Amino acid sequence: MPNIKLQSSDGEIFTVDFEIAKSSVTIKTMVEDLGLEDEDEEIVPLPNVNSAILRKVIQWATYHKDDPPPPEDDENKEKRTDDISSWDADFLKVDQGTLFELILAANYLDIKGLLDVTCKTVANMIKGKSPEEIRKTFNIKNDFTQAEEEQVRKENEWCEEK
Amino acid sequence: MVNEDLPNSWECSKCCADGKNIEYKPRHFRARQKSTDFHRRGSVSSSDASFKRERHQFDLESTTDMNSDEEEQAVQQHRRSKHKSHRVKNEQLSPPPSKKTKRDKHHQNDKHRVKQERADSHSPETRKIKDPSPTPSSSSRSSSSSSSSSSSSSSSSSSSSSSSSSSSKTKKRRHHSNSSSTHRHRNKEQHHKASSGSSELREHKERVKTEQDSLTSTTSSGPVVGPPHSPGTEPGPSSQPVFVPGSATPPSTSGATNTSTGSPEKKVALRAQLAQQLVRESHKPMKRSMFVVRPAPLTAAARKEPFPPVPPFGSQGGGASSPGGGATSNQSQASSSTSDPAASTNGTSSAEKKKEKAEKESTEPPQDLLILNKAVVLPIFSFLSHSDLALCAAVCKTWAQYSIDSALWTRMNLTGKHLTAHCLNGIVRRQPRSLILDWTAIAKRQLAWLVVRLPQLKELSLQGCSYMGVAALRTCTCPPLLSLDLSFVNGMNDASLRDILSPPQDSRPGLHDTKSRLRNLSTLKLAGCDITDISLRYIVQNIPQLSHLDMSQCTRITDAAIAQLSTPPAPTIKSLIYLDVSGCNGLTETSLDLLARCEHLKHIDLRYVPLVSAQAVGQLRVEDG
Repeated sequence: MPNIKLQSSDGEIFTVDFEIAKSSVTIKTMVEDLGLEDEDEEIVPLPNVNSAILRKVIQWATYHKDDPPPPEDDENKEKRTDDISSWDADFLKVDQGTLFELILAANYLDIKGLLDVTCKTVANMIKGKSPEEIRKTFNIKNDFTQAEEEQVRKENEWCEEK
Repeated sequence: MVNEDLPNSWECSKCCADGKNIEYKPRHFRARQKSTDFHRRGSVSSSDASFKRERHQFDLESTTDMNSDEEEQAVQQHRRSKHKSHRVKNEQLSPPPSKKTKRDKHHQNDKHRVKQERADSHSPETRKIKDPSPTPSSSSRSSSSSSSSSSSSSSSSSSSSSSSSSSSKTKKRRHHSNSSSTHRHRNKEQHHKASSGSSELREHKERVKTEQDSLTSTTSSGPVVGPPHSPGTEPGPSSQPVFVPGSATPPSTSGATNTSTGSPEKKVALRAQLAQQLVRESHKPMKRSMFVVRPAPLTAAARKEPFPPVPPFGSQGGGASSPGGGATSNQSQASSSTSDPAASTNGTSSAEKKKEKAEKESTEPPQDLLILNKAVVLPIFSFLSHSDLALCAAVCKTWAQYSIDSALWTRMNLTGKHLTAHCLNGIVRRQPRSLILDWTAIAKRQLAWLVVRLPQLKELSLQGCSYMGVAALRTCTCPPLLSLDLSFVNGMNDASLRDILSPPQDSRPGLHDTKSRLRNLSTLKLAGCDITDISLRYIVQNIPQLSHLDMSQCTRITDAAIAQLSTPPAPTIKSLIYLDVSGCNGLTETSLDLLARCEHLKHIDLRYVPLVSAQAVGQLRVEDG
């Protein structure tokens, strides 16, 4: 089994099994398009991912390398957020910054499973909270004036009640 | 139209209203305008505070500009023809008192005076130092000349009066230089040369001498006479050609001089001379230039004083440069001054843009604040329900912006909601692909407003609305819908379905729809509508790609309707995949035979059709294989 070398933004090089690296559609496409399958020593630079996050991503991909492909999304169905496996839940017990960076990395590397699970984790943090609670949770500054907030609330009134 | 016999008939109010007498003016009116043209212009140019300075400038010009020009001579002659009392007064003002008495004696002899002035001019600096009053002789003289004709308020009128007073001498001169005068009135450019030639012909020595003298005297007196704001610049002797203006000379004045062809030659010459004087001294371009003036490149000085109050003839450039040149420089300055505020506004606008950009950048979420990063937030939002998104919109401005991303709102279900203005606005801002407005009782105006603003809309459901609202779909701005649900629409019958499926009555420029805007439909639901077999004909004719048809609960449907769908010209033979005729009491087993012709039909709903037996259905299935 050939290996592939991934270089993080801070220069660290990770040697990864190609089958694991293929969970990232970005890397898979890059390798296939450039014809790098046969070359062992090729280094793939990933300028958007730092070494700490890349290590986490590789850890996740290694654990989930034998997962069946996820079903196609049904747009009309509301997505579930409560189907996070216990291993993933443990894996994602990190600080918010790391969580967001994982989302960013999963988005960039196009790893759907990791993106879904991280987003579900954050979505669960948002669900059922008031705007003020959400602000507190994510340390977001309220840049609305009183009138603006009222205006937004009015504008979105119709889609709130179900 | 206009009666010339009536006074002021050109002011006929009706004609004025019609704009008919713009060009027309009665003859006497025109003539008068011509004759007073110069005076009026002059008085206009020499108004207000700049009047005094202008007069100075005029005098300066008249003395400095030419060594052999007519105008110059006219002024000189005028001076010479002055009364003795004037001169006495003059000489009292003028310096060296020691020579005063001597000068008084020779008041009649010009030669002597000239000599004296020469002597003065030989040592201008010393005289300057000696003199308690710095007023030079020439300037005082010129001022006195203007004061002699003080009855006329403007400088131009003074010049005209002076030249008229000198007309007697000009007459004399004509004898010597007749040819030159004709030249003069024919060609302006050659005027100067001709006049100079005529001056050569002159026999009077003294006149030549005075000319030389005037040249030297003006040279010496130049610095003092110059406008007060430019004491340093020295107008040199005018060795330049006098008739530079050429292009700068407004065509109006030249036309005015040319039009007076009926008068005798000398009169023409005089007028030409006057016109040139006026052209030179006036600092306004009399008529808008007929050519494009490129704004002069902005210098630092021009930027400092973008609007010079008086066109600085003496101060700018080469002092005694030709007035025509002055006029052009003035013009260019004016253009530059006009362009200056534009440039400044440009500058401010660019600065504002920069500021805006900076503000934008500042409002843009910094990359390190990942919770405000779109690439992070949007995937998270995709896991939230619409009601949660509404809450998230109230968190901060950035989230409010992301929460209405159309990717999150591909499908909007507003079933049974009361459609407020906020609601419609929200729909348009979110640009859904699929919109469900079931049982909302949407009004026609509301739907028309929506339909224009949702060009991406593919699926629309209007279940349970009234036909009054649904009728808004018949418009040229209706998006190319793929799916339309008109089930249980109140008032939907054959006629209203025909209306909806017919070509729109309105049209956009360049887009005239001859077919229905709903021709792209693949799904049409008409459950529970009051339609009959005729409606099927409209459907078959207008919707060529129909694959899903729902006619459940349409109790008036009979086998004839199915025959419409399955008779050869109908496109539904090939396209139809799904047919729901459940609850249609009128159908019999004949329909099954007809439907067997539809090649791609996969799904037939025949529930609650009492006249179709399960046996027949089973037979159809066997036939289909």
